[in-house]
Amino acid sequence: MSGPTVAAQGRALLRMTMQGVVNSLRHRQGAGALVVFPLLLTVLLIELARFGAKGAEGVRRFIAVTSYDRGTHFVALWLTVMAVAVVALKYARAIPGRGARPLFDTILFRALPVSPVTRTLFELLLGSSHAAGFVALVFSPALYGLITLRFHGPRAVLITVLISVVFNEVATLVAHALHALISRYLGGRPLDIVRVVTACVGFLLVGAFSTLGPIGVGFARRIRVGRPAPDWSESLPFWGLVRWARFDDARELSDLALWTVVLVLLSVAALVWRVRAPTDISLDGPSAPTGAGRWESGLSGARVEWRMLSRQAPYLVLATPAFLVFFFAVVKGARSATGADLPFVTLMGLIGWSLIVQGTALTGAASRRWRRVLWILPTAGRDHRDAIRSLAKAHFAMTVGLSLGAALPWWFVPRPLWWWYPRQFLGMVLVIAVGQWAQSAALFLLIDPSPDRLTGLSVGGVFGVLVTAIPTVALLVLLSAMGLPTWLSLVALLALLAWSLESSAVARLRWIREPGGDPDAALRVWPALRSFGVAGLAQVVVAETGEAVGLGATRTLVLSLLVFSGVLLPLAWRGAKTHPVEAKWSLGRSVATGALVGAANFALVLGLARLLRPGAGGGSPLAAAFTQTSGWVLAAIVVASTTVIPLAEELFFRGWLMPAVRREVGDARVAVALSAAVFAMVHAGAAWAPALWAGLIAGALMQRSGRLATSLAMHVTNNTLVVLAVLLGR
Amino acid sequence: MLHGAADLVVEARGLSKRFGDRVALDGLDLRLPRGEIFGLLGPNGAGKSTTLNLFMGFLQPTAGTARIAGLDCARESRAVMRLVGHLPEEPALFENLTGRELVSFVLSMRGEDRPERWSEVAVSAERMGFTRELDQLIAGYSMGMRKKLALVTALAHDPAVLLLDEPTNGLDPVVAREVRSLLEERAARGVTVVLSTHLLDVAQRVCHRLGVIVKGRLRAVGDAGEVCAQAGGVATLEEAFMALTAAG
Repeated sequence: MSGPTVAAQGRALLRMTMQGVVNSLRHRQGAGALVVFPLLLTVLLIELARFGAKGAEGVRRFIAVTSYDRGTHFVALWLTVMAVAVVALKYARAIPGRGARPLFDTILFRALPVSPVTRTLFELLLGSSHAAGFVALVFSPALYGLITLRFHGPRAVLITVLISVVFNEVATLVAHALHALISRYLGGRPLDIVRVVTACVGFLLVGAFSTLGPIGVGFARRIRVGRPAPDWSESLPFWGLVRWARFDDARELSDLALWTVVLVLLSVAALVWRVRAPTDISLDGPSAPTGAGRWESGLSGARVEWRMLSRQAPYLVLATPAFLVFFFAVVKGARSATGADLPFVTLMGLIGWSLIVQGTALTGAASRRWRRVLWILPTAGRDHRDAIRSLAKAHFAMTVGLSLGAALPWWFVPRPLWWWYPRQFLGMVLVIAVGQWAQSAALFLLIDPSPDRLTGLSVGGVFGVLVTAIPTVALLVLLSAMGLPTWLSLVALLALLAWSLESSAVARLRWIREPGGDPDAALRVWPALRSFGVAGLAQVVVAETGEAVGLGATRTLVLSLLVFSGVLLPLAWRGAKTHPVEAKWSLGRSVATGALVGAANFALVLGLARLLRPGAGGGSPLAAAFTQTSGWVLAAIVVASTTVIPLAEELFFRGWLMPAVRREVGDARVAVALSAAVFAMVHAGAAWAPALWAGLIAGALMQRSGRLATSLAMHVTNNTLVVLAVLLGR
Repeated sequence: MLHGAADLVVEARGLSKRFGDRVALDGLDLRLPRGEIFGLLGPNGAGKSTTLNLFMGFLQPTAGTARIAGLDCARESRAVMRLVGHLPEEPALFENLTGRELVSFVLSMRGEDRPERWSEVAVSAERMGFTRELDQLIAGYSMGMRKKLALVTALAHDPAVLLLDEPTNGLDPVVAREVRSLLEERAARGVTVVLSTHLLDVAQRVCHRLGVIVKGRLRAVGDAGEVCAQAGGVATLEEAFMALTAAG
């Protein structure tokens, strides 16, 4: 009797894995996740590819400006560090931890007629895909930069690909061999310790190298070029970072804002991405959460928070600076397409990447205990909401301390206004508070609905961290240069997100303890924010690719706006239907009042603008779309601004988000204010203050009349008058 | 194809397994003809699951041999696994698949994803009252549903030998009876069934012969009457079980 071929078994395995991924997405986040995920991946790939291309260029320039020996020495050392990082990452993925087993160790799989050779082949293939993105987009470009010193053209590409593939397979083999060796001689329990040690050693290596590298480069340049190195490469990277952090140029600022939007969207969508490979818990039998006894007796809130804090300390101490460095490096690295500091910027960016890898391994190591705490806490007689807020408070205390240290450099950055410092501090504390709140809620939301599976959070944990750690840091940086109202509306949005996530998490936790009904029934604001994120992602994809394919800045802007409203419109239409409102006014009265208020508002805003800032306006990219284009582009933007965009925005802000917030909060005024704040944030690029004002009026009109037609009429009238004014003034 | 060999048996000769100092199984001798339903009885930790794991080739014996259809279970485990349908004590399933997708995966990995196998799956699922749930995600299954799916999966490729660890645990009495009759029908078609259980009435009703294992040693073997006689001539299987366990 002949069995199935290796290829047939491989196909079955691949199909099963894909089905698992698709089911997981569809089941947990709805079919929409199947759209969001590829979109998210596209954005990520665009950004990483762009970053990777700079990596190759950077390494080449780095070596060009350094004496050959020292340059190659540092690059070789860096590649070694990368190799350690990749192996650590693969190793962390190879071991789900105690209680959960890799696919190939499950009894179900072991009872299948698969030869040891085939099994190893599959295991290696699956292991090869771990960290493959890292190898392809960070390691390979750097290697390419190195190789182009000797070889050129297709030959250099071929050699790079060849070495990268071999490197990836060797790293996979080493990681699996380590896994086999350690599980054979140490058993299950010390794995966590091993992982933490591996991660810490790697972290120290990278840290030491990132400090020594620039110093060495500074010396190398002195020796070779015979003139002093630039001031930032003379000293520790810390001071280089400080000087980097001077965002005094408008172009830098807009790039920074774009990056922040991308990162926030990525992070929000990361919550959607809750893919886990199928795992099997039963080989050892279910493991009861141990250590529950320590939590049983009535601990005071402060003690519980202290315990949580002490468990998180190693992770926070190591991971927060890593993310800070990573963020600075990415922002600056992506910005500097040209300029003298490119090689070093890129190098710092790449170092940031290896730091994030270490953070990943570390998070994976810490996750099991962390998850247990999350699970046990509600059993100690505390409410789920308490548990979420306890964790948030513990994190808040820790992160404020760390971030204050990180904010210190700003003291040395000259700023024109004295009140910049207190504003910065206040904004930071506020953002950290709501950020940690959202993060805790997101983490509780990520808990598996099974007390047996205390492990396997490495994916969830990393993305949980991404969900708010990166946006928090991003916002911190953004705060340093943006206006008070803009960050207030950002804080409002983040608070709304936290609130909604918390309600969902509490509902889910209750469902885990007492199954029955739909755990996602409590979701209110989240679906609206999720749809908004999808439209935002689509806009970012267009904005990122438009110029690259030769559309030009203005056309890309117009197209991205059209795509944003085009995607938001059907989603908001469907969402608004789930929140029917009782009409209080007749349709005619609504339209007439709306149009009248719209016209009055236009006159008021125009008058105020003339009074307060005579001669201002016309400088925004959107204004350029009206004044510097003609033909179909002008027609499209005129028609869209007066029809599709107001319709999509009204359906979303007044038809969906506002009633959803009202259901969540119970207070109509809060709902009007919050939806207006988010509305203002979306329009922050053009004019936030008139947008906030218009948002408040539109919300009040909708609230009073019970008809979307009122705020829609106001919005359309206002936009039409604005467009007319701009066109007449051309 | 599978049922043609007349000598198709499950066989153990001096089968022993040690874990360090602990003896899990000590010199098991067993010979089961085609079409027999054999019940392994014994208290917790007696060595029932170890026996099944040795037959599956998951464990390597310290001494002796385990054979299925003449194949050495330790050295030719892949060929053995083709012949065997296995039900582990704790149904271990991939949470993000539906029941049907899991069955399809297992059949494909065995090279048995054919229409006639699916009609068998439909029949056994129908009899266990499990047809509708087959298209739901496993993550939402109760323990009973997991057991049913694991049984459907074990039976799906029409195996010549069934190794079942606690097959009726966690099932309601109606389904448990269906499972018993499914096993009896398979046995009538020539399938050899080895099941471990600590439910004496299940063992008595469905098994042709029983073996009582205590502390790794086979204390008694035979039909219910023979087991009672070997336990010192007691009247019921329960008394026999008590006597053998106490003596061990």
